Order: sequence, then C-alpha cells, then structure tokens
Amino acid sequence: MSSTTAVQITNLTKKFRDTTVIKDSNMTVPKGCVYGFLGANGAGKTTIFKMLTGLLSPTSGTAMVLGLDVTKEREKVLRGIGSLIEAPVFYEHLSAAENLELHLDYMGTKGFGTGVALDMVGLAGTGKKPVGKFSLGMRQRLGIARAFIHRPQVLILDEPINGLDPMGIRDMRNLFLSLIQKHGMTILLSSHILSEIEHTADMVGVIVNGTVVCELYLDEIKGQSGIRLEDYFFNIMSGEGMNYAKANEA
Amino acid sequence: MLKLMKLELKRNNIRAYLAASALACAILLGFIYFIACTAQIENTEEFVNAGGIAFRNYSNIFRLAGILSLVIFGAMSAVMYSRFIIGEYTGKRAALAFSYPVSRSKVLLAKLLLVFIITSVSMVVCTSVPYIVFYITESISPIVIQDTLTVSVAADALKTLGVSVLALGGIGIVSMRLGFIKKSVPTVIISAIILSAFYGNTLSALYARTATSASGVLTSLIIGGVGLFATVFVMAELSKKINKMEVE
Ligand SMILES: Nc1ncnc2c1ncn2[C@@H]1O[C@H](COP(=O)(O)OP(=O)(O)OP(=O)(O)O)[C@@H](O)[C@H]1O
Ligand SMILES: [Mg+2]
Repeated sequence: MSSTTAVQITNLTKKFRDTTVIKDSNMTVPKGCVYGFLGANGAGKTTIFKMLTGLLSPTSGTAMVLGLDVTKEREKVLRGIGSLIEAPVFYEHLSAAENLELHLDYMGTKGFGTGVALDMVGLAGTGKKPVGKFSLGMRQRLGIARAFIHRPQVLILDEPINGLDPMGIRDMRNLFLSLIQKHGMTILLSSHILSEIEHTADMVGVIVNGTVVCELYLDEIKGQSGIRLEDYFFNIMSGEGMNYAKANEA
Repeated sequence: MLKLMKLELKRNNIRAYLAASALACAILLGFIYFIACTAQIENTEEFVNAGGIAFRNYSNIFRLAGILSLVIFGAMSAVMYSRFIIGEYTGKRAALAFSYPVSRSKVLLAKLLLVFIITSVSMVVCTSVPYIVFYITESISPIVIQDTLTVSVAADALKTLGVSVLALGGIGIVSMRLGFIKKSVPTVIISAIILSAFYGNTLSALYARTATSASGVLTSLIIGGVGLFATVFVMAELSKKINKMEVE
C-alpha cells in the first residue's frame, strides 16, 4: 500500500453465518479525493464500511486504512478516521455540544472545537436542546459534525445526505470540499443516489451484489462523448455491469 | 482509568441512582423500626408461634434488615450494570462505544469499577445510617426491652454489612453476565434478586449456627473469595467477548 493511498481493501470477503455478503472485493481510495461508493440497496456498502471501521471483522482478505490493518491495529485506525455509519447514535439526554465534547474527550483531542463544528453543519443555534428532541436532518448533521470534529485524515460516511433538505445537501457538499481542500482530508462516502455521487465525487466505485465491479475517475466517463452517466452506471448496477465496464475500458 | 470513569459519569445520568439510594435508606430505617415495634405490640399466640418473637432480639433485627438491604441494593446494582454495560453494548449503541480509539477492555473495566464503587458506597452509607440512627435512639429510649443493645452487636451488624458489600459486587457482576447472554435487563434484575436473597439467607443461617467468631470469619472469607473469583472470572471472559464483538 503506497503512502498516497488512504484506504485499500484486498480480496475482502464477509460471511454472515452461511450467506456470503461481500465477495472477493478490491478497492483503492487515493488520498485527497472524494470517493463515491455507489450500489443498490443491499449491495454491501454498509458492510464494507463497517469492516473499514472495525465494527465487523473480515471473514477473509484485508482492510487497510492509512497503511494499517484494521483488524490488527483497530485503535490506531480509529484515531485516524471519522465515521458516520447508518443512522447515528447519540446520548439522547445530552445536547449537541455535550455529545461532541464527550466524543472529543474519547478521541483525546480538541479538534475543531464544538462551537466551530456545530457552525460548520448549521447547528449553531441548538443550545441546550437534548439530541433526543432533534429532527432527522438535525441528527444527520450532528452525525457529520461528530465524524470530522476531531480532524481525522479519512472520513467514512455512509449515506451522509440521508434526511437532509436540498439546502442541507448543498451545504454539506461545500463542507466536504472545504474539508478536503483546507484540511487535507480524504472522504469515502456511499450513496445509492447517482446524482449525488455525480456532484460530489472525484472517483466512483460501484458495488453489485457484494462485489466491487469497477472503480474509475468521473472525468474519464464525462470525457467520453455520447455516454450519459446515468445510463453508464445503470447498466453496471443492473448486472451486465462488468462486461459493460470492461467494454468501455477497452 | 480515572479519566474513563469520569467520562462514564459524564454521559450517564446517575442522579436517579442516588435518589434511589436515598429512598432505600429511608425504607430500611422505617423497616427496622417497623419490625422492632410490631414485635412489641403483637402478642397473639400465632405471632409468637410464627417466630415473630425473634425480633425482640437485636441481632435478629439487624440480620433481617441486612438481608433486605442486600436485596434492595442487589436489584439496584443489577439495574446499573444493565444500563452501563448491557445497554451500551446492545444493538446500535455498540457502534458508538466501539468508535473510540480506546481499548474496549479498558472501557469495560472502567464501567465495572464505577458501578462497583457507586453501589458499594451507597450500600454502606444507606445501610449503616439507619443502623446508627436505630442504635442511638435505642440507647436513649429503647423499643426493644427484652434485649440490651451492646456495642459488639452493632459492630457485628456492621461487619456483616462489610461482607455483604463484597458479595454485592459478585452478585451484580454475575447477574449482569447472565443477562448478557440474552441481552435482557429483566434477566439481570431477577437473577440479582434471587442471588442476593439466596446469599442473604445462607449468610444469616450460617451466622445463626456458628456462634464462634473463628468459623464466622472463615465463612466470610470463603464467601468473599467466591465473590472475588466470580468477579475476576466474569470480567476476563466478558472483556474477551466484547473485544471480538461485531456490530451487525
Ligand atoms: N447481520 C447480518 N446478517 C445477515 N445478513 C446481513 C447482515 N447485515 C447485512 N446483511 C446482508 O448483507 C447485504 C448487504 O447489506 P448492506 O447493509 O451492506 O447493504 P447496503 O449496500 O448498505 O444497502 P442500503 O443501500 O440499503 O443501505 C444485504 O443483503 C443484507 O441483507
Ligand atoms: Mg447501507
């Protein structure tokens, strides 16, 4: 794994009892990019993200983050990443700021500071309100704040725009850009919404039925005339994917 | 470790447990006076035959209060262990606990230690205060006229309390481990009540029979040893399990 790679998975397989959910997948996320992870419902995006953050252990293969094997050096990896996986869990009786402070205490750093981070996700005015009383979108924003507040090198965001209004989506897009450009982070985000990936990502990985079938820079496809992005991915995701992708590579 | 324990305190609301302890203290105090008084008032044959007369004796009053205290605090420690441990490692909550770059074993140890300290201190304080209050009022104007309250009876009661506190740690942790199998809070609470009632009865039966202090000490040591062994065993085993736990 070279020093310019943020995340690398190699021949990764995950079985739950008898069912194989992730099959022999490979993925390489270069540092400093937004990597969009595209896949239909149930394709395996969340499962791969959980293996990257140490919540699940691979059945075989390896997951490396920042050059460290997640299974062997879980704590070191956790220090370098920030994550939002599925619907975020909070201490419901505490306020947004208190939740972030606790997180920073455990992370052992002051990071951006709670005030700044809350401002960055548009939650500056929530004061003492307990998180239990937050709306879905507010929880999602707080989840994003918690993922980056400790200034991690790699952000792993599972469906980060879930529940956000159009303005929120645009704000987060800008936030992600500034985290990459000003703070040198790498962002790996998943979505099943093609237009979202199209607008935020530099690079796309597509997962179909538990296998990552292709990885490419968006510019490559955008550069090819006569192909609509939507058709391109729709074909890959609907199964004939591999052949289609290969045909285009050739 | 201290820092981890402080963080546990910060995110768990312990005021409810403190209030419950204060309530337990009041209940125990009321209970002691209640048995002391009823044993005096009631004088029917049934009552005497039923053994009610036993409570015209200070050591028996303390013994029964001690069992009640153990059951109350056993239940309370079960609730706390459930909240602090089972609750935190169940379902999606585990994802939060496991996202910190801190050893999972250390976090578990901090939780166990914290609950152990809080429940032990509350049990000691909230049981000895009623004892002391009762001791003082009995020295001034006794309710129980058939027995004399000596310092050694009171000291024995406090000694028994000391052993019970150690047992409480073992009971809480063992019940928590039983509940962890099915991640069920009711299991923890029921196990704790059964274990503490069982333990309390055994202890009081043993003390009743072994009048000599030497065997009394031996019993305490054995009970303390079993509790300690159970605690260490469960901690090591649970820590291993949590280290490997997956959040599906
Ligand atoms: N704990 C589990 N036990 C058995 N199967 C599981 C488990 N968790 C996930 N799966 C299966 O693994 C597959 C991938 O699930 P995953 O949650 O990774 O999909 P996803 O790509 O995140 O989907 P979505 O877009 O709906 O979030 C699904 O078929 C799911 O049923
Ligand atoms: Mg998912």
